[in-house]
Amino acid sequence: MLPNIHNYDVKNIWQKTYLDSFLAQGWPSSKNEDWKFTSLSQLLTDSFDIALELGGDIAEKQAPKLPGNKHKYSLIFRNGVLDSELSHAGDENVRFSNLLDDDHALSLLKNNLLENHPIFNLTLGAMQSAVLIDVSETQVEQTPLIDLSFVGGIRKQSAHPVVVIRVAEKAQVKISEFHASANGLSAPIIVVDLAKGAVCDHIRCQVADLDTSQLGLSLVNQDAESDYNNFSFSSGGDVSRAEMHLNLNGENAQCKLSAIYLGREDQHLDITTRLYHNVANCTSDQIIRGVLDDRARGVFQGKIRVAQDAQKTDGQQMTRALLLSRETEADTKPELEIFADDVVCSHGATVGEIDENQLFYLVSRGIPTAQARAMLIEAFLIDTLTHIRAPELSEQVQFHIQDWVLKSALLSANNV
Amino acid sequence: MDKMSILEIKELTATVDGKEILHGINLSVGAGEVHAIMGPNGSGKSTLSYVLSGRAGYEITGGDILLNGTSLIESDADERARAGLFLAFQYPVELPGVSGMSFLRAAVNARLREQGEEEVDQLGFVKIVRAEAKKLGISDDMLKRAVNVGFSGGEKKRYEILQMALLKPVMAILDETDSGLDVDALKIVSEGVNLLRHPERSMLVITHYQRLLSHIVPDRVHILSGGLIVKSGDKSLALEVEENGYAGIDNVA
Repeated sequence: MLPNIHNYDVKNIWQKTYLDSFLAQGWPSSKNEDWKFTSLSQLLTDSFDIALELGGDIAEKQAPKLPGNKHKYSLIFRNGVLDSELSHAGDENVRFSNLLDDDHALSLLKNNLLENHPIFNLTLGAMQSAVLIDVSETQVEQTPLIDLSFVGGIRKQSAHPVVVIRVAEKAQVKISEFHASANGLSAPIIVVDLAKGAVCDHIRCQVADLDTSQLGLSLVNQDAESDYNNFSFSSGGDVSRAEMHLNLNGENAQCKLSAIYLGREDQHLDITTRLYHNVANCTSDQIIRGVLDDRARGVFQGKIRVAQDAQKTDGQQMTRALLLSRETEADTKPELEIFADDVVCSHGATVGEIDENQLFYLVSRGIPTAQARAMLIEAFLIDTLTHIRAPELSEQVQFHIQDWVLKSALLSANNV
Repeated sequence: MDKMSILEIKELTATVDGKEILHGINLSVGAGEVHAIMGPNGSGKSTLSYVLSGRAGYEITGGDILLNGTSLIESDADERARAGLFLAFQYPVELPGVSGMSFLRAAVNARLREQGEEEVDQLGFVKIVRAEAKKLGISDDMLKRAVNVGFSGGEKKRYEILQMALLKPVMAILDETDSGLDVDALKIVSEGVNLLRHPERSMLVITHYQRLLSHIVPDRVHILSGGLIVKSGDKSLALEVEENGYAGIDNVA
């Protein structure tokens, strides 16, 4: 059902265009090719009010692990609204300001050509908080780490925060995104704009409660010689989509996108990437691993588009899914659109089960079945984890993976 | 005087995919003894090793298997292993992504827990593994890799023996450990096995050829044919097979 907007007035007149576009289209159905496997019109059965104020407590179990508690630059959004009491104000190296006051930054957001994209339109139309973060080239030894936490939430309310991170020439930054809302729908937009030679390590960890809907959209633009390393982990939400559009706009830019999704019960987890090689001599590498249990469904859609002038492009994509139950489903849709003639591009996809030979080898050594299964599931994921360059960012993800895997392995061992 | 049986197989029948492969095996292995099971291809040798170790899909339809007097047939493979049974695989399985050290430690600790002993910590364990590995000519580099990944045929077999050395089983089954080994590798592996011969450790050496048995000299030799043990004898029986082939042995089809 469509969100109610009776209680909602746009803050700026330009937002109305986006909101109207969204309302005219509604949630996409499977007839929309981009949403073929993730038909929101069917999956989102609740109606939502657009959230207007801070809401929802930070669940106790999440509070001690909130990365914002220990890092210098942190923003905490509750119900999509920036909680300024809990957030950090920034400094001259990492400056926080209101996105709406900066026309250039706003254009970075609006200029993304996402025609008729439901989340893009809805969130631009309904955004509660819009923050701009400017990272300058710092002289400090330690690369600044920005924490973005999206927590709280109220049932039947939808959260639409926007964060634009503008990274200056040759600046370096680490970004840790933590999505752990307890209620409602969360549809944040994160924009990362890397100037020439900028370096960014970005981790997204989505571990929201199972009865939430998580529809995140990330938009990344890379100028020449910039280096972007993204890792995305999703295990929360009854419906989850982590969608990324990445533009390689300057030569010799490189990016690495890795993702892990872990689904159980009736979860629907979608990873969608749109990678645009717009200029020559850029490289992209994508590695995706999914594990599905119970009746969970996993979706990976990955498009690599190589423009006519983007010669010497190197674009790789590999996705693998491991099914722990016969009632799961994994859908994969790789799309290569190549208009240049001198490129190296490849994609591959596999779907499999736990190998009985491997399992027997482990248990024949006395290792209990549950532990043996957990070892094999973790082994399946480990390649992906080695792509994370910043070890301090991977700790939290590893904790969630081990927790998930152990639970799955124990449950399945009890059911045998 | 008969020593107490460590492994006692009584009238064992077993099926694979509903087809009976073992038709009533009787075998008794005393403490510290090494028995060889020889037989032509398709005689049921590998089936016997999987049935003993408790592999899913190998169904016991009759008879019993006793380890130290306790029946194993209701136990799962991991429980049998923790009770002291060990299978050295004919084709050791590669486990990409599973670190060798954490695999070995998980196995050893599972056995120690079962025995009510304290688990070994990482540091202490590395020392133990290195010492055992050295005896088998296993390099540090091999220990650092994922289990069996990138190992040669000979390295895989040595790694099996390393696991046996660490797990200290009371009953070890070596399933065609000689297959795929050249003369030098066979010698290293056999020496490793001989080092592990112990009055409290029995072994069942399953092989097609006599050559392994000139390195690992058995106390008894049994000929398995058509899912039954058709003849038993001392080590000279293996030489007889070498001389005359299986066709020359009475009762072998």
